[in-house]
Amino acid sequence: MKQRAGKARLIALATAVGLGGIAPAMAQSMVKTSLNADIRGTNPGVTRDGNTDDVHGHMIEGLVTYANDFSIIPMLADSYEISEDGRTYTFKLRKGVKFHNGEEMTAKDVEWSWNRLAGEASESHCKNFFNGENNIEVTSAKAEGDDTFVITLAEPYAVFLATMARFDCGSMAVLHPDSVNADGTWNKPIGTGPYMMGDHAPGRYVELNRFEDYASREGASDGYGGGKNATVDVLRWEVVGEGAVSKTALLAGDLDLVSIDAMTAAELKGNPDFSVDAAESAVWDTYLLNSDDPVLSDVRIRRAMAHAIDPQRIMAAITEGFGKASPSPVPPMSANYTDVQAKYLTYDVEKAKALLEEAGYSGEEITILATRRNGAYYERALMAQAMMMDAGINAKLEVVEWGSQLEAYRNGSGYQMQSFTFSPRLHAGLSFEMFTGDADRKAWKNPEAVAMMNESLRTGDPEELQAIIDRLHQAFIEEVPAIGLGHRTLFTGMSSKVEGYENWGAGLLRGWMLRVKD
Amino acid sequence: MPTFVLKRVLMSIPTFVIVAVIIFALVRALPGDPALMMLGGNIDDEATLRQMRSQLGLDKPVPVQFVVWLREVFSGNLGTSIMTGQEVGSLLWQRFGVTATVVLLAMGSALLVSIPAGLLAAHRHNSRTDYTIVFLTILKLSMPSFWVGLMLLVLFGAILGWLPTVGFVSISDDLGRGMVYLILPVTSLALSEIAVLTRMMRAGSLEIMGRDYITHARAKGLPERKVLWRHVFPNAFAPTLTMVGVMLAGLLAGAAVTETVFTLPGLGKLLVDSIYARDYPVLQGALLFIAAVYVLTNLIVDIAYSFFDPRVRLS
Repeated sequence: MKQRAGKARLIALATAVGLGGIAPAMAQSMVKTSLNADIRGTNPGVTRDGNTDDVHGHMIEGLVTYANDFSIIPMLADSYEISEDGRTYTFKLRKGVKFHNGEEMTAKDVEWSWNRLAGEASESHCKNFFNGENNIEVTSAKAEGDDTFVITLAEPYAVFLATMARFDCGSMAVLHPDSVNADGTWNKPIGTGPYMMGDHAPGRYVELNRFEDYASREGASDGYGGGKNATVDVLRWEVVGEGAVSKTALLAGDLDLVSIDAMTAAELKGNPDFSVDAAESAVWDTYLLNSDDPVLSDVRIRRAMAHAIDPQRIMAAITEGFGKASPSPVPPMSANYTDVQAKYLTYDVEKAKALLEEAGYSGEEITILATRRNGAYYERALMAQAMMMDAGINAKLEVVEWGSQLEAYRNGSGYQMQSFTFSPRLHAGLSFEMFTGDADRKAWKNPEAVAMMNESLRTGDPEELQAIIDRLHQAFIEEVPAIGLGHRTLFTGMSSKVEGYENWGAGLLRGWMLRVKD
Repeated sequence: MPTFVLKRVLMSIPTFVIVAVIIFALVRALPGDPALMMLGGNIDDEATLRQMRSQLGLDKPVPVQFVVWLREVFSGNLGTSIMTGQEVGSLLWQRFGVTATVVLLAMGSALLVSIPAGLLAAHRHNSRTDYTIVFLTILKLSMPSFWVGLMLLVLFGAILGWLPTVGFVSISDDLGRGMVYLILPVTSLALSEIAVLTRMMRAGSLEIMGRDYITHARAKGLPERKVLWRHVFPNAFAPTLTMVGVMLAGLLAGAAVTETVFTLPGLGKLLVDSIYARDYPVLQGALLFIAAVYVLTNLIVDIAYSFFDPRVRLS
């Protein structure tokens, strides 16, 4: 509101001094998109969820981030070095990077920001990623001079940088200390990103304004890093709870860019007033199998189920033909996705029947847990049920509320098979870690697999990593702790007003790519 | 009347205590862990989950949680939202303001249409006018509100481009723009209410029109308009008013569907979101607030009833 009043005053002044002609050139460009729920707050890494991270990601940056192929690239760091023993990381900071309040970033700010999220008093869940609770223990994180920041680990850990770059921690965002009040309470994010905080009307919308003094890296946009040459003055997210309403608003021209489903993408594809961007993401759609279940404890039954389900047909059906099967947990855009990861137990009903017979299966009920709240969980479960029944498996569908399904997932009990989706994991080892381990919720508890997975997270040698990932995938196919379907296709519908936007595998919006057509 | 009001207010205290117990028990009986929901489901470590539970006070025994909550409620503190950190009390007021604006405008518009329509249908009983009115109300009643809302958006937003499809501007900030954003949700809500209230008004009027005193009024030569407005309307409206009270309380408690379709930041939307997020403080606060809205609305309707039906005396 203040901004609009300010703009009106400027235009009035320009007219008064006979410069009315420049007024149209000063009009602000705005791109409107939507969120299905309001942001949870403005404190990166603390008040957060997926929606909130998406908005925060425009205002904040960390020392490193993810590239298009999920490799780690410097962001606020100019470069970094890893000591020979793999324990010390030395980051050289970029010069001339400014915070939204105009001050220049120094190594002291980086140290303050690190302690804000990873320090003992931190309210962020991120501190547990670095305090030894989850394999990584940072023993020291110190500024050295104005442009060097050094982190020392107790033990070397290959995914340390990948953990630093996590989106849910805002890539361990570097913020100006004035982001908090004198009494330590949160004020507002004063980051280094291409956009800064604008209006936020809770439950209605959130706006970000372009940061004029943003110091972009050279080169093109690359994943969540690279050059960020934002040109749109204001990005506005309207809170729209219902997908059908977002679609209507896109058609009406009230929204410019909307995340859409496959059916809408197919509808808009031939419409000249709109464009659709479809991209495969690292979001993994799968069926988790409970190997502790008396029926599913027999690997032959699990293999039979895998042969009974056709991932190709299911993926094609839920994506209106846009998507394809990629049953490996490692996403196809990963550098570790090779011919080995492309293999899976193919659809073969006869083989499924033979395996069932061999296992002595006599029609025991196998229940598929699913929810209607989350995207296509239910549809995928329904198709799997039909295919399993086709192969002679007595499959039943149990539809529950999302909270109940999440509880079953966490406890690792109360289900035999469940339609599930994992958010993007941008390291091949983490792609297996999401369902492999000792914890109750993990579907794959085989000690050998757990050991291999842990090794994949420790090794810094790319060749060794590939070898471990290949072995893990082979074991995954043999033991079938889960039946992978594919990596979700993300669809974005755009009005003809905007251009330049592309989805990427991590599924986050990158508003700095947007251009408003003249 | 003051005695009646005082009595009703005192009677509502035990109601609130019972409601509070039921709300707390039901909310805790919901499957799903709020800490887990808050962390987005994909939990990377147990320590984070433990920390979150402790932060939310969920690591204490349930009876202790109840006593703590009740004590805070009686001291006027409904807590803070797990999801947004906002104070529940102020959040409810903010959201209630939006809902009340839409609902009261819709109810006002609905009454302006349904009273004359119901009277007219009864007056022209079994005529083409009556059949048309009855047909239209049945047609509207058989359409789901979600679908009607979407169709209004598609027609007036996407096809004609006359009205905005998303967003909301408070009328206290900008009356003109605020009203533009309210046209579709108010119309959508009013259409549902018109259908019910017209049918109630028609049925009530038909019953009254068969009474002796109406025949007497006509026999003494009163013009038909006077018969309708002076004798039929006040008597036929009393049962409709009861329905208005029930509908009003229900809608003020949250017109969730309308608020979702028209992206209104109202109480109903807040309630639905808090259920999905297992935001206990907001959920409990909202349900208590809704109970208060019901009690208050029904009290107002009871008082108003005596003005329309002289046989009812407040005592």
